[in-house]
Amino acid sequence: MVNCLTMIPEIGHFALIIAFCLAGLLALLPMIGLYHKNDVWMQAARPIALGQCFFILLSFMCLLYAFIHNDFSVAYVAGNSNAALPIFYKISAIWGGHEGSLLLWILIFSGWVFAVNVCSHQLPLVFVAKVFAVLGMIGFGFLLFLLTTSNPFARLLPNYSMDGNDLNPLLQDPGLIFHPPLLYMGYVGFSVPFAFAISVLWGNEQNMPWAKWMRPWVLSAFAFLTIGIALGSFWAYYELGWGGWWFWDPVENASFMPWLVSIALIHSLMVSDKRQLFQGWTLLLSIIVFVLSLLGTFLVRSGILTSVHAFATDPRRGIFLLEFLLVVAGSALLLYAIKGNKFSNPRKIDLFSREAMILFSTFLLIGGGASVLLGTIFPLIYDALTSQKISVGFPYFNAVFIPFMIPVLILIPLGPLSQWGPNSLKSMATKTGSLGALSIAFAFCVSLFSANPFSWGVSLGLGLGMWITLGTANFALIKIQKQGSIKRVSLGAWGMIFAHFGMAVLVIGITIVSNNEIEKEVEININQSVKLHDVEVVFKNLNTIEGPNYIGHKGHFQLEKNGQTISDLYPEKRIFVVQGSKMTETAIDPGLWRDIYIALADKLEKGKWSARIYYKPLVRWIWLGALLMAVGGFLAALGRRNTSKW
Amino acid sequence: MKKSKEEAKDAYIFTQPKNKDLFHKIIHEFRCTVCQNQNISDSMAPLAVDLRQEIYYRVLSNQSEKEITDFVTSRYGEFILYRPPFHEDTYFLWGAPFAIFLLSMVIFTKYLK
Amino acid sequence: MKYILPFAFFIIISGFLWKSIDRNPQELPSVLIGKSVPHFNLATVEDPKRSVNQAIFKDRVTVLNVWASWCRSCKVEHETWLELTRQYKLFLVGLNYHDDLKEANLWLKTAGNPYQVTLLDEKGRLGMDLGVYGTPETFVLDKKGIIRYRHVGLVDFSVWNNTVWPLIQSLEAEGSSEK
Repeated sequence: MVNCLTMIPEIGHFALIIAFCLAGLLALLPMIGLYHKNDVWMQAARPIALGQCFFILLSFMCLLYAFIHNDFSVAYVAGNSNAALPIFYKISAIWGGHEGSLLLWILIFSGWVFAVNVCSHQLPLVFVAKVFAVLGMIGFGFLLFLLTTSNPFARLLPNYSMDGNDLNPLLQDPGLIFHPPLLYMGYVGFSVPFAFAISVLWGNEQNMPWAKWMRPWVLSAFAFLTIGIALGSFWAYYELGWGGWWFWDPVENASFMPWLVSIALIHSLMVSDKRQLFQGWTLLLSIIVFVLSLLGTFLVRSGILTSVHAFATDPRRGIFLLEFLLVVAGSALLLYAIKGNKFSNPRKIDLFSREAMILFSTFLLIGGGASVLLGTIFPLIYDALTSQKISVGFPYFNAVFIPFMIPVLILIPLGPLSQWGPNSLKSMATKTGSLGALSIAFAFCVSLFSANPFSWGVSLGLGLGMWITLGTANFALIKIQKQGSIKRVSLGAWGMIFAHFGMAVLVIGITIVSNNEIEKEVEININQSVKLHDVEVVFKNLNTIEGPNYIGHKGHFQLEKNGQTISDLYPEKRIFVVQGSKMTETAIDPGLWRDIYIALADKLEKGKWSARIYYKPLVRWIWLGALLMAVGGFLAALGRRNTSKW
Repeated sequence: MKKSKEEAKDAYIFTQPKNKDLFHKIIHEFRCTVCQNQNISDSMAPLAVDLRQEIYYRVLSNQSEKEITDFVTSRYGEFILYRPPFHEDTYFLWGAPFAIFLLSMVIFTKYLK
Repeated sequence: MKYILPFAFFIIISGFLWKSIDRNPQELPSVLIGKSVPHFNLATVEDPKRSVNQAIFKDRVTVLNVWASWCRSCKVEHETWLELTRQYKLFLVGLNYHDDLKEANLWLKTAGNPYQVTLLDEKGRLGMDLGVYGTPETFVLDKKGIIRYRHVGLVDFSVWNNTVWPLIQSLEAEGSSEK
């Protein structure tokens, strides 16, 4: 007897196949329409795109159904879920493994395609047709990959077990619910500016305001990616047990590189839009940003680099993804090689102009990104050339990346406060001299009068943070004055203000927590304490605990300040009975100005425990800064497209 | 009256701050070959525990960073170093970012009047 | 003409990525290949009062197997060694790594002892000097006591037939052809 349960995954699989065919049509029909100058065929792109989105959504819903209803006849469900799993983790388990996360990728891709469909009615048909063709090709390739090597609907019939393997305990966390979808919204979103850029390069029309059209897509993808990365960092911070928030891990770098390039793209777009300059560079950046997204997808899933993110890897998948990357990136970059010279710069620029400052910043951002790329793949290059293994870790990335960013940070407030075209050095100095002096004074005062020994690093970070803050605030005031009221200031300008201010907050947070955090590694017994700054951490009690699939210990620590108890923290050490793996549940006392962070390491003799206790000043400013940047991105994306001046 | 609690003992005791700093620097810059995604400061693997002890004793007997690094790399290879060494095979790695910086300045000047 | 550069860079990078697909980034080659086995002076599991040093490796080809009673994979590999020592004439030395003497002895008594001698490395000192990072590990030493090969993980029959046994045979021949 065929019951509903057994059919749903098949419907899901079939829907994917239909979507695959539609993607193929989407890639072909508008192109044929273009060639034959047939409007009808070009307009067919829209309904086909809608159809593709519908069937992918249907497919996703089928997998969702299988997870919610514990259909362990589907191999992917059996491998990643369990009847006892709480409902929201069952849902997020959809993207807990390779196949499902690819389905999420393609679902989000469909979402962006849908958005392009809705938001492109005023664009010329010929242009839109090409955009859809490119999106169709990307969808086609990706669905081919899914269907041939990573089918989420593979069945275990007829013999399947009554229960599943369970979701990896590390993933049973709210972080899994939000981090991958938001990250993909960013990554995948860059396919839209990519498609636009290909469309521009491919075409013969000059004087299309394509930079204006691309802007909201890049800005919103950037904003999503910023949140996605920040969430990943925050999740690692409280989950991994040792208080780190960035490891320069290959997978982290894979998301960081597109982020850097997208910032360069946003600014280069502005110049291309308003001054008709750097158009070739902007188009190249639009291609590079998506190529890096795909490269990231490849690096994470091919297993060729040692990383924290353990996706189940299979060389076949690696090969397919690399072939996909080669086709997409290769053809795009070849197109640029052939057509790029049509977009060469019409005139040269002045040294002290806003254009020059932006251009140079984009070079620095790309340079920094290229260094991160080099460091990330160097172990592969080294192995290929010498057959030996080498590691490239945080000491390299910190040493190499920070010097690129310092000039960028200096330029940030100068851009808005300067004019398009030539600026005299004198006028720049008048506008910003006092702000610069104040920033330097602030930095040295704080550093000299703080409890910690004087540090050049802290002074530099604080100085730059204050410089950006003052410059941005100054700009905001000028703007409000000019427009008459806060409401009259454009969303685009507010977006920039928030984003730049967010960067300042981020820089200060990173500077202070990296230089001034306190780490105490102790062997502690009941009633013993550790002093961190003005807080005393007392180990009060220890209990054994039992969970649904683990046993362990739970400690009770009390935080005291001036004799008063301010907080109770309960860090745990869990042993998962099935696999025997140990996990540390950290306990954090959060605060805007500092986190107190406790992690239990191991049980020692005579009731002692080895533990790590951290005082982390301003650590939350890191994610707060990122959030502000994302808000800025969204505000600017929503802004009126036709702004003639800031 | 202020109650003062007994202070917990540090896991690794140093009398000289420079030794403490050296110890921390080294254990954060060595990769745990067992877990591979943690440094030997954070890793709970028995090998990491052993190496921490070994490095602790060597720091206490005033061995230099180079001596300690050589001790470990002669057994586990350069893979264990998060800071890639600087020798003829890695000149490119360390030099390229600087070259990129110079190159970007050169290209920038080509855009200028 | 400069517009071709991005494409060129991309192709070069892809070349390295392509070459790397089959390699396993977790596998560490031993840096001790070609070097003498480290000096040591350890008791044996079979007779804790007796101690041995690296001289036992002289003038014969040795297979050195690092194991522990707490290591699950080692227990699985154990069967293989019992069978191999039955089939072939081997000088198989065990290195009992970071283990409890009682547990190790108990295991050898109940499951069988394929080793000619088992070194007792309770603190893991010799293991560290050998660059051991994951049990089980197996080393092949030549007649001069030089390390010629290391295998990380289980030795099974295919590893034995394809790599280890042919190497042992060539090392045996090496010594005698020099005479």
